[in-house]
Amino acid sequence: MTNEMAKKNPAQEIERTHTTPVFNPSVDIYEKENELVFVVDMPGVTEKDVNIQFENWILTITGHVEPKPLEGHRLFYGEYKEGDYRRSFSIPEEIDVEKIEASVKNGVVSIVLPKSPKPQARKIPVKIS
Amino acid sequence: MTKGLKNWNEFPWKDMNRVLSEMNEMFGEYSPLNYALQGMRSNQEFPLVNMWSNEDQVVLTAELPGIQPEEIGINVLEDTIFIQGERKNPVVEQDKEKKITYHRQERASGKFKRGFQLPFRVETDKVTAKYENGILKIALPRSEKEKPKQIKVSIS
Repeated sequence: MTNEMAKKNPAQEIERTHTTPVFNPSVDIYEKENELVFVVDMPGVTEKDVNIQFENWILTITGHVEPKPLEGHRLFYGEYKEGDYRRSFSIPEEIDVEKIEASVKNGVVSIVLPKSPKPQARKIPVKIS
Repeated sequence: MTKGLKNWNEFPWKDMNRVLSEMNEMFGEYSPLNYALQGMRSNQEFPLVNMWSNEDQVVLTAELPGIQPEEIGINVLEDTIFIQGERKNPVVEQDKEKKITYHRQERASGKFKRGFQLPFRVETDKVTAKYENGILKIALPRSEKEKPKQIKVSIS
């Protein structure tokens, strides 16, 4: 449902105003009995550079890296560029939004989304009038 | 800018480096070269590496997120450097018993090893390495013997 809506509203895509590149970070997503876990590679990012947003069942993870050329040196061989990271995911499960937790270690962001308890099946008595 | 490289022309690859860096300077950040480099992000080389240089040293930086620093091995021999190690999947280690369903697994895990030839021999004893926020940074000072020397001409 959320996916379809996103496709139909491309205008909602946020346009960027500056030219530093934005990368799609690699991610592992796994599910345990009570939680959904995201592990995201964001080399160069510290905890204050990470922004995690959960809105309308869409989880958006952003990491900011200020490209820093090495002073007094010249890049003579390059395989990677520095820049921001961003990725969004639609979350199908019922999530306990208040209890989402995130941490950063060695350039890896981990986000734990606890599942909210499934609503109990409720028997609705039918009265005889 | 490229003058300093002329001393290093012992091997053809160094010429290539010079050509690439001249291209880089001509076209700037958005040169075809840099687009090509950006495209390389998608291939499976791990870790990705940048190398910086000046007259005195080469600084190698590598994107190595999620590694314990003690798992990284660095070997330098003359003008060659090898970086090796292992990136473990902590989930597999911790939760062997519990039921886990993977929805996506894009992060590579396992052993890695990469080797690079440097533009000069290195003062092996003075190599330093630092690991911070998933970035490995190795400073490789140029061997004193290889530094260009100024020779004074004495008048007899």
